[in-house]
Amino acid sequence: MSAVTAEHEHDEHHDHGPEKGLLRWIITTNHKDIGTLYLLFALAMFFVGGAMALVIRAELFEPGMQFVSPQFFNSMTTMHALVMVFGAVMPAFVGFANWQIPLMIGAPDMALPRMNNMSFWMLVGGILLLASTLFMEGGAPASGWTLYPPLVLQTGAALPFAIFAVHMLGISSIMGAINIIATIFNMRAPKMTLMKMPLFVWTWLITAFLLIAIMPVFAGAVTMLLTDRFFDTSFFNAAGGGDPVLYQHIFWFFGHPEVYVMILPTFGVASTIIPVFARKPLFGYSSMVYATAAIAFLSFIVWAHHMFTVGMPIAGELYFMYATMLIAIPTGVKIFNWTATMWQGSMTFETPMLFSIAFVVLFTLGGFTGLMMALAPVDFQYHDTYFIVAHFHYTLVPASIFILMAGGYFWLPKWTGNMYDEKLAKFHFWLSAISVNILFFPQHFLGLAGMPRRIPDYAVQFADWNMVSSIGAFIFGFSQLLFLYIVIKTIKGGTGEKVSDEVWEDAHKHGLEWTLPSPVPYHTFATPPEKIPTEHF
Amino acid sequence: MKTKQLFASLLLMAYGLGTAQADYTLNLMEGVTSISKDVYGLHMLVLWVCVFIGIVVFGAMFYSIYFHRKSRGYQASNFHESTKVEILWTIIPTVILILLAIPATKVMLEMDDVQDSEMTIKVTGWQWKWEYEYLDSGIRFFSSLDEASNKARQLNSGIDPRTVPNYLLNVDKPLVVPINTKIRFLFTAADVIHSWWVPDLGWKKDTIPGFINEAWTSVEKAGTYRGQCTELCGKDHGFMPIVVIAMEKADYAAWVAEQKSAAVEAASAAEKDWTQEDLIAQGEKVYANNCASCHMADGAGIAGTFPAVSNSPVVLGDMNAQVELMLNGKGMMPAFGQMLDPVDFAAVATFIRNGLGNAVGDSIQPAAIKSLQAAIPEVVYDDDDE
Amino acid sequence: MNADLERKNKKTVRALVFLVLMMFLFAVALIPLYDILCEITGINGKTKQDSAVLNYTIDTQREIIVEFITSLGAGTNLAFKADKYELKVHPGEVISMGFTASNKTDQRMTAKAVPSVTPGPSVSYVKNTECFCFDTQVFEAGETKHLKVQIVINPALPERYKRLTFGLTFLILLTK
Repeated sequence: MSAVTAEHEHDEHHDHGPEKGLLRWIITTNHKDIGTLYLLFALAMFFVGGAMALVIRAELFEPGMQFVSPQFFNSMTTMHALVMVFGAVMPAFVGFANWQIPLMIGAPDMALPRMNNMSFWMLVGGILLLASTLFMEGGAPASGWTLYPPLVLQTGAALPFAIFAVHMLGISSIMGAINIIATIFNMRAPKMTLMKMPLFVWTWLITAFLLIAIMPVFAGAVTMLLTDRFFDTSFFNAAGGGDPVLYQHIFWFFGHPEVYVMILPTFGVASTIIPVFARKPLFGYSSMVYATAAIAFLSFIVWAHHMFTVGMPIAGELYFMYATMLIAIPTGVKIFNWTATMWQGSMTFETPMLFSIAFVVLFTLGGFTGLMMALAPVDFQYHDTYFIVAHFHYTLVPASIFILMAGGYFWLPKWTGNMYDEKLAKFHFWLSAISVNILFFPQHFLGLAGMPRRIPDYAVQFADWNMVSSIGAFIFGFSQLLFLYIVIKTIKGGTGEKVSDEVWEDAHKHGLEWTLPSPVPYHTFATPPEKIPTEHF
Repeated sequence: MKTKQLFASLLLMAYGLGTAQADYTLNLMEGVTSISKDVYGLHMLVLWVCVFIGIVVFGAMFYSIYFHRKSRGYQASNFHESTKVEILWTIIPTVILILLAIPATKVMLEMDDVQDSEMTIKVTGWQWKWEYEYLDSGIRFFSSLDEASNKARQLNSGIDPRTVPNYLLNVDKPLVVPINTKIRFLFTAADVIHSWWVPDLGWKKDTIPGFINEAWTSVEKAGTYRGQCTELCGKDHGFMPIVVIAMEKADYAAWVAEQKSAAVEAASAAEKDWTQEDLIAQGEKVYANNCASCHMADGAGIAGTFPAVSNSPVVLGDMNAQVELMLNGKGMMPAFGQMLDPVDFAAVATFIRNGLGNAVGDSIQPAAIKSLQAAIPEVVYDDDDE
Repeated sequence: MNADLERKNKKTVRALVFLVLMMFLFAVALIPLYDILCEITGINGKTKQDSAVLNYTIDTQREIIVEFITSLGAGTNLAFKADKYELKVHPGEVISMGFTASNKTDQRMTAKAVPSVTPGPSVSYVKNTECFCFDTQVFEAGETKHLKVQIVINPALPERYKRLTFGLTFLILLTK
């Protein structure tokens, strides 16, 4: 939609603009259009997944069952996770990648524009198929997003559809990843060497490799579920010589890198935003690149820390404990580097910066609980309680989601040429930052006090904090409508003030995109740029 | 009421936690075993390490945010690299991690050592109850959510959970163990994966169909300890609590003797002839605890998922077919032949034919059920075992 | 887009698609790999058939307890028990244990027993030379079977193991 505005402004400068009408969005191969589609779709799914979360929090507002059946509750937790992971967070970062990677490396478009279009529509198909399971006999999958057998095999008619949906989402992600890698490898402006690329591009390059490595493994695992159910194989069925724990190993071999797929681009966006508002180059550029690579590598060798309680031999438990603890080192380096970037800067606190600082602080809290649960013997207590729920929501909501908001506020003026309403945006930030803590912080207490996760009802000693958490959830959820309003208003013209080409003070020192006109023309970098910003040197 | 609670919780947030309810906890419990205390110690250690690192990092960050801002006229420096600093903040965390790994490894090794146990209890997870089998004394029973909680937890039951003692954390038959005894647990499951967790014991362990896991505990203090299933196991995952009663050794011995004589009594109860009224009265209770969560308290079921019992062709038809279905299960329906004793089984089979809107009029005797059931044969023990 | 770039893109895509296929094969290969790993480390406590003739010297100095426990999967309506709950044995000696399983239904039942040994790391020392769990068992309606397991414990079993548990779970495959 942002590009619609761009079209009116810049049509005359180009020999061919976008198609007119709805067809433009269906057949488009323009990286900006596809980026917009991804972002809008992700935003829609954010509200769908959020609505499911509110169903969960409404049921948990008070002890006793008030609104939904336990089975539907389980479907909600399962679908909330799948929709948020595959429908909201991942597509949103792909949207950023589509918009920003060509702009940041001085390329005219993505390397494989037609495949780009296909991978978006495949995503939409996958999510619609997944959502359709809600209306099937026996309900949507209710075994958690991890789809553990044997429980998942008790799913009703929905099982094959959910698995095909996962296949489609996987193929879509793989196509997106191939496109991103090909773009970064082959389309960079001549002077844009790898070690001059903005960190966002670097983190996406590594993320794309993660996706290519893990998505086929996940596809393999769910395919085996399908054959176990319908073709009498026994991959995970003890009676036929299989092992249900094997599924967990394969799943988490995918699942652990998968959570980094959601967090590495987050690091990239934060590393792009913080230097701009600190008016200082990013501290330790190369160590940031190496730390990202190190985290990606470690993500492949720590999976079984998700399954400390399945009864592994002691040697396995200890190995996975030590390996997991190692992750704290590169992650720590990143946090220290962001702090050092702010140190002795000349900071201003526009909304993107506020969200980024909140990200650094709250992600660090999520990191702390991560370190705590890395210790296997203590994880025997934490495992599958609300402490875990608090942990991963801290690393996803005030981290990935906040950074998506930050990125939105940061680049929207560039894309649309309109400034968002700073006052409203700051209000949105404070509402979100406070309510997200009301929502998730008490969950630490609940978990430590003994409340398991994925339960629709709880003992009365957990009542107070659940109520607090639910209140936080509703404030947080409804605050996001404000975000929607601000985004729509900005696209429609914003504050009326036209932004400069660099939008943020001295931003042109930090990235190629700020050297382009605002709003960004429909076609950019038809000829590669001569000069590239070298701020991080 | 709701507004009051809401107000109370807001107050709680505003004025700190001193006003909290008495049984309220914010932190991990220390527990009642040496392992749970070690785990608690480790938890507090890593918590304080995190707090310390947090103070340093956030301290630097907020100092910077306050002083190094443009509105104060602060001029930005241009430094952006320092190998020395980078090495320093790689090495310090590494040292901290090693210092944490040492005690963690110790506790891990201690937890793993199940040898030299004095007794063994086998725990089997079922959808959605626990089966306990004392391998040394042959006592075996199922433990499921107690009736009061089960009634209150139905959708819109109208019962305030606050009026139910130990809501959702109470069972019909608790696990009883002696104190100061090294007890080995063997875990397995009959259908899907469950996980057995009592926070006061300091750990949880998954129960996996077809596989055996083990863990041990030695409770230091007599008391009642409550926990729950912690691995999503389907619809009623939230409703299969665990209650462990730890007793002085003498009390435990008395309990064992009592269980054994109760088993003899139950066996003779299964032999005697029951009147239809007695069966129906007993069956109503059994139905509430075992059947109502799927087929609903009124027998209406849930359309599309769980068939109705009222006016069901199976119930109104041949009794043998109905008993066969109940014994062996079908799809989501568990095989109750493995879970209910002959009396309860016959009672509930009779009840659903003559209650919940059905009036077939016939009944079945426990003795008839007993011959159909997978009764557990006598276990033979080594005499020189004691 | 110029031809050179197109060629480069095609090359990149080919390499990445190859990587995707390799990763998919890797996921499938994990199944046998896991079995091999389990055999070495005893991750899941599964025992395999050991047909080799074992000539261990019986360590009469050492006595360990082997415990036989039986379980049933949901819907497996068998009465299934070991003749004895536990045995005191010397490592190296041949241990036999009888089991009784009777089909309590009025239908034919096909079931399979799954062995599981704990503690996990001791699995490689438990040599399972004969077990009804190697084959699928067919029970006629009401049939009772007497089944047998024979194991030998490698005397090299580390000293710290004093009690081993040999578990068998009968799981129903078919009724007909």
